[in-house]
Amino acid sequence: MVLLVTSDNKNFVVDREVADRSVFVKNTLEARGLSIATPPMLNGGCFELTSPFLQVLEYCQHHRGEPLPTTDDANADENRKRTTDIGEWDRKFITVDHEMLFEIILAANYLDIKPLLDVGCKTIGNMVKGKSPEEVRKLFDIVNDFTPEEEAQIKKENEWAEDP
Amino acid sequence: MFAPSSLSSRARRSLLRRQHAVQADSDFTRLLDSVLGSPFLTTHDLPDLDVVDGSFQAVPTELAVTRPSSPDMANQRLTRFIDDGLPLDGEEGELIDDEACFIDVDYFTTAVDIVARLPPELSIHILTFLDLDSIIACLAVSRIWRIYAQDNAVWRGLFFLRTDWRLDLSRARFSAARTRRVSYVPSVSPELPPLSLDWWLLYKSRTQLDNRWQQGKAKMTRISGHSDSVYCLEFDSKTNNHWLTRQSYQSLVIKDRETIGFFQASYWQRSLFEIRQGLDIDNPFAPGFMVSGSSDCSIIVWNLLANGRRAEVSAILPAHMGGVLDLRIDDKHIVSCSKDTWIRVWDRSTLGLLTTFEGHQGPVNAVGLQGNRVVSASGDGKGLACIEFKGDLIVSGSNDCKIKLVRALSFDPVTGRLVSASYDKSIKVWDLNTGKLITEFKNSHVSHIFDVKFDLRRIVSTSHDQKIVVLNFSEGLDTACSVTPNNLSYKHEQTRTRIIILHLCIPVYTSPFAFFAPSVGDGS
Repeated sequence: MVLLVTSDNKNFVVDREVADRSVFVKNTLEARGLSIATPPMLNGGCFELTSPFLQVLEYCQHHRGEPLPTTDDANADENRKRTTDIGEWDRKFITVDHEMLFEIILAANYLDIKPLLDVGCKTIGNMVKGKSPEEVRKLFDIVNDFTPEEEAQIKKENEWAEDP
Repeated sequence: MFAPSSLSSRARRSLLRRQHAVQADSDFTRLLDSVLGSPFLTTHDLPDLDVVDGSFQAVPTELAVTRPSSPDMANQRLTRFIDDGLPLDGEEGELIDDEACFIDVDYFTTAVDIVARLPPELSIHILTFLDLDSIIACLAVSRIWRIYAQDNAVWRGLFFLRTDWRLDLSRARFSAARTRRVSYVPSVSPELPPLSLDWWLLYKSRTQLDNRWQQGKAKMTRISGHSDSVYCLEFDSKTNNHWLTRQSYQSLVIKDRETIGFFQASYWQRSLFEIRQGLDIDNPFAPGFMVSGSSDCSIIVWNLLANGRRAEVSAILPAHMGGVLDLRIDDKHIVSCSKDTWIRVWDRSTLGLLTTFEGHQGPVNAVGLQGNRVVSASGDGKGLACIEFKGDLIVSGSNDCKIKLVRALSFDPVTGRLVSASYDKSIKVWDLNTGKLITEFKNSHVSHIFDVKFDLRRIVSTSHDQKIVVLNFSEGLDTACSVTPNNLSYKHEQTRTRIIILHLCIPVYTSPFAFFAPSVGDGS
């Protein structure tokens, strides 16, 4: 059992096996021989930690006991990048609003849970795929901050990528 | 732990927090019970545990581990690009997160520019999952998206998604694509090529080069110098400075970038050469090794670098009973075929005869060699003039379905590009995978074309009209790192060899010592 304390001071007691999904928690515990850690001091743009942390724990719970990806396996890293498939459970799990998706990605990054980070990143990638710039702007509520001159310039710079 | 100046505000907030906490803790239990079947325990479930008041002080500070903040660059950029006016109050140091707890609930339901708000390394990580079209779209979304989509790591990733593109990084120093384009990804993957190259430029150049092949846009250069038909040609596309052509029955020419040296030799039918950079002590034949076969029935082994630019004859093999029509070399063998219907395999280092294949009924016009397999093509009554054997493919050229003979061909299994040259004066570029004609050059020569070779940048052909023609596709593009077919070692599948253009009687032999298949059926 490990006690995890979020930066908004909520305490969670979880199985070691679940906590070990986070490479950060795992390494910390192993390095110091501790059973107590206060991990997710998410900085900057994090607003409410408890709800993303609950999601992250749910993910860790579901994937407990699976082999952790090794960092020195370059091929696995390449394969990971080549595929944008997401498992069915993961896909349902990650079907959340933008804010939560943002928080989960941040949390997965800080806690070093690479599979979860990739699930989040692939999800955003799949949202963008096949969309025009205007559609992407609409999707993420982005203001077009280019001047018309710049837009013309960008269009010209990208001409080479169009089909001959 | 905290600066004294923040104590009062901290105390106030602590009070607020405890009021929330009672409510929240019971919420957690409910949530966990309902959604997760209670896989986690909250502190309420552990009455024996001391640590229940939820404050940092409850955890012995010497045991508590706090996640270090992310790198400075990320923080600064993140702060800079948040445009929604949320407070990022720096004055209270670690308490910054508490401040952020009080957010209007409506905020969660609106669309959020996640990519712009994440730390740059994460945004770029997201973009590495995208394809070219999506990245091109991302470039035009907004300024911050443009910065991320231009990132060198993104383009490096895109480049390596193209499995038919290869790079020769040893040539990177000749390339202009040495970059000042940075990447926000701080850790460079050691297994990938360096980010010091401009991957956007490499990708763009390669795309433009491929488009020019598709459209047949090449700059033509005619090289004169021979006074008779030029029968065959080899060029070393890697070093780009040695060209070897054989002129009909007269002379052999090594064409350097600056100088053209002639040396006399008679009756060459075909010749092959190899010029390697640096000396290979273990293999005396490696640098400047060349063999040539002649209609005087012999094979001559040359050392091209023996004496400066002069070539020397190392050995003369009385090889065949008839004229030698084609030769192939690899690092162990020399394979020759002849008018006498035989194919012979020689040991490259001892120059001894290893074996003789007899199977053809008529002169053997061409051979191919790969690994331990030999492929041969014979007239056998119909004109099968040339053959190429690379990867899992055997491609041959003949006159059976054309008006004029296909005299020479060359292909690259990686890009799937096939170039053929014919007596009808045309050079055609084909797509090996679809069998479609991509483009055609009709007027490069005024007479029969005898040989053609190509790399990623150009097609070089020789002809009865005494000219060498270079079709250059890379004019104005930086293609120094592009790997050319000659430099590749092909993966050879031992079990399956696909023969894509079948003509009459192509015996396939395997290994110098075993007979593989006597003949392939007529026209099947």
